[in-house]
Amino acid sequence: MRFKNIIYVIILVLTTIITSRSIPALVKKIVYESNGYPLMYYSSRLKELCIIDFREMKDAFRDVKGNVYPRSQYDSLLPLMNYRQLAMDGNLPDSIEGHAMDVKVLRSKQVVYRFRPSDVYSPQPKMGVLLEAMPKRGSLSLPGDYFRMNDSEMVFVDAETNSVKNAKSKMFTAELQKKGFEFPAKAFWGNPTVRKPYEEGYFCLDNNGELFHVKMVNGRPFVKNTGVSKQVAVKWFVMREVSDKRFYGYLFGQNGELGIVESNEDGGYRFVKMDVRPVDITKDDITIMGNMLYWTVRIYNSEAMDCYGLRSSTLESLSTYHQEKEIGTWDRVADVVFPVILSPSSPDNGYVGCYVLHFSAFAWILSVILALLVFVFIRKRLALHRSLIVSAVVALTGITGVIAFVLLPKNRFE
Amino acid sequence: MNLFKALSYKEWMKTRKFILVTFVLLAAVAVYSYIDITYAIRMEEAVNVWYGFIFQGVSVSSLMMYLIPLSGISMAIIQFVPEMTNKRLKLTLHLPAGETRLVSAMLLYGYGVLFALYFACVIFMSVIIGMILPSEVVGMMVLQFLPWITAGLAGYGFTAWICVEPSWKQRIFNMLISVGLLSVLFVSIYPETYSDFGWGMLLVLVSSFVFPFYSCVRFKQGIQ
Repeated sequence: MRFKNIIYVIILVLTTIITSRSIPALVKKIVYESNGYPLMYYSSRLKELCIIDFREMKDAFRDVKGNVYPRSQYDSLLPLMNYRQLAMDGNLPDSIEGHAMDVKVLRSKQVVYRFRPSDVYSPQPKMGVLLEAMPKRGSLSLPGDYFRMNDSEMVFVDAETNSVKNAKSKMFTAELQKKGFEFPAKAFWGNPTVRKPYEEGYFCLDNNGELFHVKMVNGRPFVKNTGVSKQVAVKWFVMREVSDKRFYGYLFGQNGELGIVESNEDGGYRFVKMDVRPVDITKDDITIMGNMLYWTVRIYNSEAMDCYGLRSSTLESLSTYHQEKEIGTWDRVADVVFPVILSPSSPDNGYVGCYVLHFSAFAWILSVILALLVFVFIRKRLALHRSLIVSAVVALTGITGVIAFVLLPKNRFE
Repeated sequence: MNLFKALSYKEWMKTRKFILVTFVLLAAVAVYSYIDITYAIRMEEAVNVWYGFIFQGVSVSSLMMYLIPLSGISMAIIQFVPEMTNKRLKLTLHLPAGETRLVSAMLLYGYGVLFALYFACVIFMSVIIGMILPSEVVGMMVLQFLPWITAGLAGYGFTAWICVEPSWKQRIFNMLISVGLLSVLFVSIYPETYSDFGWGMLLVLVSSFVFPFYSCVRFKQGIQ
């Protein structure tokens, strides 16, 4: 057959791709030990960021200046984090920095948020749902229809009949156009759940890059241009109805800005930028743990973590901390054994693709030596051109190439 | 041309019952999915059912994830195992045409039949599901089916590769490689996650077509 050798190469290359995924995954499962970043929290008592890592020290934690505190003081030194435990033990202080410590208030001011790059880089809902923002009954409920943003209108589709609600669609489209919304919408972001304290609807980015607030109040549209695009070019928004109604959600700017969209005194909107380093939403994870006085923001990726203690009212930075990623057993093994690791999935991306998760120049040099050994070994067992191809694949991929070769037919008469 | 007509007739005689069974199964699962959704709508209200599809990535028919790939694998077994018992494939390969053309004809027959079945199933499901769910959900369903359909077609080719392979040791290795390649199509079952991976699915599909030729060469050379 004419294409025999070409087919052999295709089988070899595809098998190598498969082994470059599965063998490292197996080895990782065998040797991987948790080497994630520690929990960080800005202490209202110490006025400093604390590193809480009980893997490192079983009975103690420390602040970023290196002072070590016993675990028994964990609750009392971090009262705004552990207020529930303190209240249970009867040790909750009366006030901190002049603010009365009331469990209800503390709970309503608590902010917990985690962002992953895959929140953005994964399939997004094609439709949205506008709940009634002022429900007659106390709890939120689904309205019975879902909306889509067409090229020139906002269309509501009734779920029971699977048909367009013309009157409602026209009413919302007209209101959007009246307020200066330019179709087609670039994106719309909401928090479509009934398990939240209240409803703020959706933030829609129009064709001009203006961010509009859209919600349904008493069955009628409420549309307002937030005007935040004058402050920042909007890249992504995350709607979060927080208990104390201070802000609408988290906003990511085109130039790596991270902040919140607050409601200001006269019912308008204001972007408050967090005093943190620029964020790359393709690879940075973010966690935000806030309380009534301070927010702790961690921005981390596979290389390092930056942590910030922010003043809750202004989001200005009070303390910062930088930590490089610890090199664990798995990283050392991968650096020596695997020149490349491929995977169809990525921790930072929800879409399936061909991701190169790791590249090591040192392992690549070793695999060239391995390739020479393989060539010497198979030279007499295979035809010359095949030996050369197999050696080239091993030189590029190392041990995974050798395993792929083992799986392939090896008959010298072929 | 008559030779290929005759060859297709031979394949048809071997597989017609299986094709009928697969057709009935696909139709039954499609209709069952429809019934299941209308039942859910009556029990939980349409608005809650829609919520699951739009925001939680609920599958319109998760049974298809098993049925489609298994039907492809079974088709290859039905078509190629009889060829391998008593080495009947040898007779086919001695027909007055190149072995590449003969094997291509056999494989393309299988791919064609499976593709027609899957295509008809997707169209049928889009129509019946489109009556009760919005076009966005129908679009998500089609995109979710794409990797499964690729797995059905590629599973057919890889199984043919395994069946035609003459040596048992190599057959096991072929199975390992096939499972590895097919597993790429089941990394995520969330709808639309494969929308940027069309080239990868095409690569797996094309490789499933060319791999059997290599086993065929080994078969012809009489490797045991």
